[in-house]
Amino acid sequence: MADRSRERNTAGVFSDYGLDERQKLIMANIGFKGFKIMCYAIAAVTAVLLALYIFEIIIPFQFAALIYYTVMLIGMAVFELTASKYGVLNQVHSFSSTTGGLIAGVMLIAAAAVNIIVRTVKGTFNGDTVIIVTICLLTAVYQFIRCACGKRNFKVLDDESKETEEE
Amino acid sequence: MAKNLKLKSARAALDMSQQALAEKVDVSRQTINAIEKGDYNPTLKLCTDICRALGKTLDDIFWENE
Repeated sequence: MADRSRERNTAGVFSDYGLDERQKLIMANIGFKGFKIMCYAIAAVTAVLLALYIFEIIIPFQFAALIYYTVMLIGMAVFELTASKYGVLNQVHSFSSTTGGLIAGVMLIAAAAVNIIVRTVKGTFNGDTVIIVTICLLTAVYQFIRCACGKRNFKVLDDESKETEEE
Repeated sequence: MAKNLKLKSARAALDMSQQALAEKVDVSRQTINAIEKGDYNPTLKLCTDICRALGKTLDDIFWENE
């Protein structure tokens, strides 16, 4: 199997060196499930830490949670961008994303703006405000990407259907 | 999924082991075993490679009799 003239003695845990089509398929399924679990776990932990932060319960790793949350959003955005490029994004998700994503994004920006205005007027604008506004804006950007990906997914499917009809 | 007994008998007719067939079509022995047990649906490319290795057609090995 594979090019035996270049056999290796080591390979990383995610390497597909030496795997055949069935093994690669199983690995891909495991990887996808792992990615999903990781995203949901990070989102859940971030939500809990943010809730604690809002109630002024400061515990270690809250800043690290923000970094993990950002990385998670980037990962999910890349996933949606790549899947929509091939038109394989879940169509029900795409449909809800086209409007839901836009509405959620606008609401998050509005929430961030209101937060800034209210805290500035009250004179309580501080680091806490920056963190909450940052989370709102990051999530808003992801929601807009989600909306765009939903639309692109349907466009790719429509273009593929037109190509088939022309043949 | 049903077992692929045709593949097993075609392989046995040539006195070929699962390992030998696996090496011929560049997959693992476990994958040949999974195909014979009906646990894995191979791609069309792998199906044609297997048929070529056994000197059979797709109908002979992978067509289900109704």
